Amino acid sequence: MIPHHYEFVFPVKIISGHSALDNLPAALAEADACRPMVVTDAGVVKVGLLKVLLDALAESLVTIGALYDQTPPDSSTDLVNELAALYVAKSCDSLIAIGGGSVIDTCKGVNILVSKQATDIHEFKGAESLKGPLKPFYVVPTTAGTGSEATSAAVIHDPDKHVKMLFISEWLMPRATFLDTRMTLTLPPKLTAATGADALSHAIEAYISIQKNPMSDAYAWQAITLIGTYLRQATANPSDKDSRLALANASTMAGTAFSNAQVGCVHSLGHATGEVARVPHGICMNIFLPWGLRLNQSKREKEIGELLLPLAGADLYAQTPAPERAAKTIAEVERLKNDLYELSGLPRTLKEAGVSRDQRDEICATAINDGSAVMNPVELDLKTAQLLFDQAYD
Amino acid sequence: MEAKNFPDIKPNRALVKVAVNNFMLFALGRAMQSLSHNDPLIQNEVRTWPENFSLVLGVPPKGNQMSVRSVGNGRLRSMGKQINPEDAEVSIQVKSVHSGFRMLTGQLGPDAAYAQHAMSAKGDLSYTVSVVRVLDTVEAYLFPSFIAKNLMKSLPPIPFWRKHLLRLKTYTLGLLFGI
Repeated sequence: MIPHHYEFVFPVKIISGHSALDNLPAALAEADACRPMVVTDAGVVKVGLLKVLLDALAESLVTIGALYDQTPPDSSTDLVNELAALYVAKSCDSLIAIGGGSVIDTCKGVNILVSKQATDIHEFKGAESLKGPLKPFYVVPTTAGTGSEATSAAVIHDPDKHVKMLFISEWLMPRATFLDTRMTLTLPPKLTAATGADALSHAIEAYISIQKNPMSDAYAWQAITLIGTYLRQATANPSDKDSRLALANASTMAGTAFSNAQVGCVHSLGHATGEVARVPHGICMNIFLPWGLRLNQSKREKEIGELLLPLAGADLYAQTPAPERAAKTIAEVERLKNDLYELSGLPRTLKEAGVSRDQRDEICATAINDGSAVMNPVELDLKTAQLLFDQAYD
Repeated sequence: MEAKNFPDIKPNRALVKVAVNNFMLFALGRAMQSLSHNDPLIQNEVRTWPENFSLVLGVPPKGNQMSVRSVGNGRLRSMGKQINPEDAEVSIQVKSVHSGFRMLTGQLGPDAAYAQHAMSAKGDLSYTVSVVRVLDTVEAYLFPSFIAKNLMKSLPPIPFWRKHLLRLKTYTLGLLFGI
C-alpha cells in the first residue's frame, strides 16, 4: 500500500570495499577540503584503526587540522561545544568521524555549530528546523549496527539536565560514508552479534512502522537479506572479510530505512532498558525483537509474513503457507537469537542480561515516553510495556 | 526575452482554510485549558511536564498559533499568541496551511502528521510522546468517536459519562471562557 504522503532522503555517497578508505583523499578533494578535524575514541586508537585512516592519507594533500581521540560512550553537549571551538581555532574545513554512534553523533553536533558559527548546541535542538547545508562531513563506522552513518538524527547527552537531546535534520547526514572491511575485522563475536541484532531490529521495525514507505522498504528488505545470510557467518568466523563487508552494508541500509521510517516499541523498551539497567543497546534489541513483532502482529500480519523471504530464503518462504508466514518469521528471529547465543553467548532474555525484576516499573514507565513509541503500529501503553517486559524476562 | 514579460507570481490565498485554522487553534488552546481542569488522563500527563513548560502549535508564516503553559497540578493555561515560538520549550510548526487544515479538522491525527512530515519541531523533543497523548485525549473529546478513532492508534480509556459531560462543558464553558 502506498502512503498518502511520505518523504525519503538519503544524499550520502557510499564508498564500500575491502580498502574503501583509500579513496578518502579524493573524496575530500571533491569537496575542496584539505584540513579535516578527525574525531574518534580511545578504543579505535587502541586496536589500530586510526592508523588505517592515517595510512590512507599518505602522500595526499590532506593535513589533519586536529585529532580528538577521547570521545566518551555517551556524547555530551559540553564536548560538542568544546570541539567546535577547537575546529575554529585550528582553521579546519571538514569533519571525519571514525567510530561508533557516539563519535558520529558528536561530529554531527560539531558540524551544526561550525557551520552556523554558533557556540552552544542547545540552540539547535529539534526536528526538521535546521537550515543547511553544513560543512563537508565524512564517516568511517567501526561497528556494523548503529546505522548513524546513514541517519538524519543525533542524540547528544545534556549533563546539566541529565537528558538526551534529539536533533533531527537531513543536513546532519554525512557527505560520504566509508564502509571499509578493515574497520570491523577486530570486532569480537559477541559484539558482532549484538551490533548485527541492532541492525536487524532497525530494518524490521522500519518495515512495519507507521512511517514505512516504498523507498525505506527497499533498503530494509536488502538489509534483512544480508543479515539473514551473513550474521551467523561473521559471528562464527570474525575474520571473514566478505561477511564483514556485507554486514557493514546491511547496517547502513538498515540505518537508511529507519532514518526515513523510524523504529518502534522494540527500541522504546531497548532505550529504556539501556538507560535504567545499563544493558548494551544491541543486546536489548536482540531480546525484545521477537516480542515486539508478536505485539504488532495483529496490525502488521502481512508485512511480518513477507519478511520470511529476505530473512530465511526462498525455499522456506515457498514451503510455508501464507497464513503461517508471520508466525514463521518470528520463529526465524527466535532461531537466530538462539544461534547467536550458541555462537557468542549473546543474552536471549532480560534475566540473562542481568536485568532485575525490580527495574520493571522504571523501565516500562521510561519506555512509554520514548520517542520511538510514536511510530509503533500498536499503542505502547504502560500495561503493554509491562507485558513485553514480562515476556522478555525469562 | 525581456524581464518585463515575466511578472512576479504571488502565492494564492486560502482564506477559508486560514480562517478555520485560526478558529480551531483558538478552540484547541481553550479546550486544552478547560479539559486540564477535569480530565485525569490529561492531568497525569501534564504533571510529568516541568512547571511553566510552554507548548506552541502554529501554522507559519501567515497563520495563527495557539500556546499553552503548564501552571502546576496538571493544569494548563491557554496563552494564545502570548508565547513567542522561539521562547517555548516545544514549538511545533505546521508546514503548510493545507496540512494545518487537515490536522485541525480531524482529518489527520498527530501520529500520521508526524509520519507524513507535516510539521517541524523546535525544542526539547523528550516530551513529544506525552504531548501526543494529551493531543489524542483532547481530540477524543472534541471529535465524535467515529472520527477520533481514525486519528489515533486506540481511543483513550475515557468512561462514557465523563466523555459526554466534559465534551458538553468543553464546547460551552470551555470554548467561551476556558473554564
